[in-house]
Amino acid sequence: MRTTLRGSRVLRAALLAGAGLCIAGVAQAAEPLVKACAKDGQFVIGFSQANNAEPYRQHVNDELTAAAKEVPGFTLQIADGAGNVNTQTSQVDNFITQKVDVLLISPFEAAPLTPAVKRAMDAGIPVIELDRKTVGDPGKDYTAFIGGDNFKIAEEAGKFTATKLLPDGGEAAVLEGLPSSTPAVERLNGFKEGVKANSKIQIVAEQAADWVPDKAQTAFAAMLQAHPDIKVLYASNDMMAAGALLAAKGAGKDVKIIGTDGLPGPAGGIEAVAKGDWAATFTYPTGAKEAIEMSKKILLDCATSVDATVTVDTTAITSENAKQLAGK
Amino acid sequence: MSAPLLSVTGAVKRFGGVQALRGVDFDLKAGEIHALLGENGAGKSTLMNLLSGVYTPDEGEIHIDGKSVTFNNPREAQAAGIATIFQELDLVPSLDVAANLFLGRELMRQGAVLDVPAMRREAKRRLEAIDLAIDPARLVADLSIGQRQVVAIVKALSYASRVLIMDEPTAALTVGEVERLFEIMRKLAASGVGIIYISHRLEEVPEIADRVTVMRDGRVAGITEPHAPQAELVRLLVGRPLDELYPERARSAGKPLLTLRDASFRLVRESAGWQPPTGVSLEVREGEIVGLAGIMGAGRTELLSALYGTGLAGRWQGEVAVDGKPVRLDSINAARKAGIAFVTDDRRGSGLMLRMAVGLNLVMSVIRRISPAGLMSPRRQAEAVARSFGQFDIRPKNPDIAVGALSGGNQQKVVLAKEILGNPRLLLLDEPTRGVDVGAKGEIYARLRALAAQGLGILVASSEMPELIGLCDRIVVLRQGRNVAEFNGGVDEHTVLAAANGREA
Amino acid sequence: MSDQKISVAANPAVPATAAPRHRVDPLAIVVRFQSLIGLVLVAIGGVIFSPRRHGEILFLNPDNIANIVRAVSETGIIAIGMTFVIITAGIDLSVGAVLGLSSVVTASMMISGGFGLIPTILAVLVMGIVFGVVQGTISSRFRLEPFIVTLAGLQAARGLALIVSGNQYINISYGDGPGLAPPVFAVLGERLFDNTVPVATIVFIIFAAIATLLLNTTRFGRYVYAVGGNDRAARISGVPVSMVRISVYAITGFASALAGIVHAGQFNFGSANDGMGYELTAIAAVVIGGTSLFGGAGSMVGTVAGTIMLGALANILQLNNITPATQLLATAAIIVLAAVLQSLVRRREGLGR
Repeated sequence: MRTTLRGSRVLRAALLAGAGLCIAGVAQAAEPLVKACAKDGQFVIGFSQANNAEPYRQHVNDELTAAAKEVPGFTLQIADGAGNVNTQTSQVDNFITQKVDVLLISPFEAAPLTPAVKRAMDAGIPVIELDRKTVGDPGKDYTAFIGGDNFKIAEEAGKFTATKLLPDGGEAAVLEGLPSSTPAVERLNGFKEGVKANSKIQIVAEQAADWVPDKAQTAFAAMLQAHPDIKVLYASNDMMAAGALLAAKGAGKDVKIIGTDGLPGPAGGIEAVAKGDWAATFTYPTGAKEAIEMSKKILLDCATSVDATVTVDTTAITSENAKQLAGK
Repeated sequence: MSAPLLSVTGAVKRFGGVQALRGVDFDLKAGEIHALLGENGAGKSTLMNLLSGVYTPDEGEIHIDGKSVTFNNPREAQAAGIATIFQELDLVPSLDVAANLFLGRELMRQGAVLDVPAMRREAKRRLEAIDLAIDPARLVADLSIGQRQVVAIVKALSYASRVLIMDEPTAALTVGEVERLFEIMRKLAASGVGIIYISHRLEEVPEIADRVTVMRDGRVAGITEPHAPQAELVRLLVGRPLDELYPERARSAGKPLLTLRDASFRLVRESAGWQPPTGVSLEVREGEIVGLAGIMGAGRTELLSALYGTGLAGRWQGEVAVDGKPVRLDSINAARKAGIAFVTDDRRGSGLMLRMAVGLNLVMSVIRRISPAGLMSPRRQAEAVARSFGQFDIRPKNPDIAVGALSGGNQQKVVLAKEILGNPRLLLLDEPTRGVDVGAKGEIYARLRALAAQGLGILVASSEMPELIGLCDRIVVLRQGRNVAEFNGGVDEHTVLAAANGREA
Repeated sequence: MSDQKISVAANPAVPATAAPRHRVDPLAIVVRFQSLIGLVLVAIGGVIFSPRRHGEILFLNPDNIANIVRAVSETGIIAIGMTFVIITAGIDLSVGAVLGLSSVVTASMMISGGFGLIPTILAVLVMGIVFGVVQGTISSRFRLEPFIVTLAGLQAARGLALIVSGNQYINISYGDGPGLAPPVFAVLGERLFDNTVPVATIVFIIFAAIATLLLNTTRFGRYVYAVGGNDRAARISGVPVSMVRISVYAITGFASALAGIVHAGQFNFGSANDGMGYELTAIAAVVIGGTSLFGGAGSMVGTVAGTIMLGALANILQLNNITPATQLLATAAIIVLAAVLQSLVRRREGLGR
């Protein structure tokens, strides 16, 4: 615990080294990760969620619940850390007391939850971290990390802009999330990187709207005043994209909007693309299916090791596939 | 013979371990004004609360027109025609008269908008029906207490018109206002309303009542006609003949304790209605009880609180000396250092921690003494409490119950005992027997006299003239903040009153 | 207040018969010990409804009990301070924010300031006291409602925390040298005695013990009850009312700072958002503990029991995989029940509302 590594840096290093799916470490012991593993056993999986109040996290809960239901022997328990590291720590401790068979966790903050994760590992419970990491290395300090790559998702959006939306070039703008947060920075940089594929595209404005729609609306309205020729807006999440759409409608402009996250439901990005309001949104994968798959490997198949880092690819949701996905 | 309008038979009510009513029979005829007398804790209020639906009786029955009724809440009692006017009038001062009369029963236009003109018209009609010309648009806050009382009566009669229960309606009224109220009561009675009239003022009874019921210890002590001699009423109230309410006077006084010579209290900021002491000269000697007489606003309370440093901000000019040495009495601390203790006239508001135990209240003024090095000593505390219980007959004899649950008389004993514990040399008393029943009064007087005999000097302000005359060695009369006359105890009441009002006797 | 009973019969000057036993209202006893009774009931419920593993009752597992008391130690420390304030009929809404400020200052002093452990802790505690003294003085001097003053204090503390932290989380890393905190500070997140007793809980218990003694056995404690019972009466009796008022806010400030230090040590970081909403949890624990918001009555033991009870309740609900929604509803029901019980007793004693 000498220093704090931001998870993304590790991730990007790994990405540079290999492909979308990569292996960062392999356990040597031939013993299964969980000794009580059995093909037809009954298992409890505890999921310590950071904060149910965020729509994205609720979406993760829904997907996990659905995925766990597919496995007859699995019972999923979800505890809501409510955005409070003390609450989340105590919930992890409670899962340890209960001796859950696998612990899934999206830590609200990295350093504060690190000791709780260590206690779980010490108690012999495999820990799979979803979307956010604690301090340390996957495969060593915790069993595995499953998550998306913010940089890469935004880069996809950038490439999509460069090749599909503005092949002949033009002006584009970016709405950033909360300025100091890691995902905000990664998504901003990723998009810029992707757009570089087409040198005729200019990014004329980038502003922070702190992930929320009302600030996005205000910010984008101001951008349109200053730059009436903006053709594409990249919003770093769906909520800001929704706000930007209101601003564009208000200004009477037809701007192609790209969201991020690809949340389902009537207020989500998939629906907005299906209705033709937005040009596209790029899913931020929850990793729910992958987490349950990994749990099956550990608990049912008696795996002796699993992939330490699993990066889940984004799906581009465009007019081509949105209707089909929305109807699902 | 027809059944009485209202009757109660065998009413019993307990509160925790306390039996407030022990089988009470009571009845009220239509058109009758029935006085209900009793000391504090005799059960008057409990009986009244049974009739107005605040409590339900544990045993016994209530009949109206001979039919048994049960009230689960005040609304049901009102529906049966019983209206109650409590001492704390249920009027909203910041609303006008009409709004108060229709509070909760507002007249509406098109079912949504307040019909203010209609309410004012109707209010005016009702007020005039009892000969009261109050503008319904005036704020209740701007009315005199007497006018408020009448508004409360009109309001009560507007939703319940057969029985009117009035709890000490004259307590805060001037003589003229009392007369007016009595007229209204007689008029209502003549129209067939039965009135239960609760009061402490024995002298009012013959004037207004048709019949008198006296309660004591949760029972009916007797029912008499209103012109029974006062001594008879007092015997029923107290349970024993009242041969001597006031103790013997002291024979000699010691050396001067408090000396004021041409002393004035200069306020930092003038305040309307606060009459500062102005050029007061008086003396209180060891072992002496000195009374402060004067009409309302003469500055009695102000003199005491300025001496104790609880009044408005200001400072003394002229000679103020304790034990012959000049002192600066500008704060509570200074007064206490000089050996002065003070008992407020507002014991519930500023004398006691009502929800805290009797014992904790008693030691409040001696906390420093019973907490050496800042740590409370349970032994010293128990000793102090035991001393108080030894000096004053506080009932119940249990230091662990909340002081708020005690009767007014016992609360007053606690306030006194608390200050006595601090071993003061001079005791300032403001209305020491306000709201205290006759029995406890006699006991408090005896106690004060005994303390004086041990050398304590006492300066007591009171609006009850007989109390000053009976208790004090000397009476100083204040008018507009200055002393205008001085009499020996036992002086004729009219003489003192004349001096207080600035007339020749 | 059970230890404040006064026995008249203890003095030989007064005959023992002078103190006849009065029938004690059973409801009053229930209220006096309501939080302890509640704690016992929750514990019994915990045992009954606890999941079992190989016959072992998980709820009673020593690790689980340690989890419960660790989770409540921060709010518990704050609730202890809050008890003093509420007994004086005051309220302090700034506690959670002061916790956040303290954890940020703790982290930044050690990480970017390069201060040692002792100077950091002392400075943060003094800062908490000063914060409380300022609030108490403003409220007392200008006769403002403590609700308003501490509401402003809440905003001020969060604002200061954002400034100090530069709107960033400050991670605490350990070691020797610049930018690193003394490793001994991390002990706050550990468990002693064969890895069983959380250090945070030990801090909570020691603080609770000191506070109990302060409230029940000292002159100051008696003054606190007196000021809440009737401040005018207290003033007339010579109690330094303003000093007492200011002191209780100094105590909540100290408690919040202590909780902030514990927070930083347990979680190895400081954030301006730490302790969000703790003021309400603490007030709930105090009220469940039988302390009246009207002032003048309350007990420290009750607060501690109330705090642990809320923690145990959350624990048993999670062990049974019951949703947080249910947990909130259960807490709401308990708060209302506690308040209703107190009100019933007041009415029975004839004290009105």
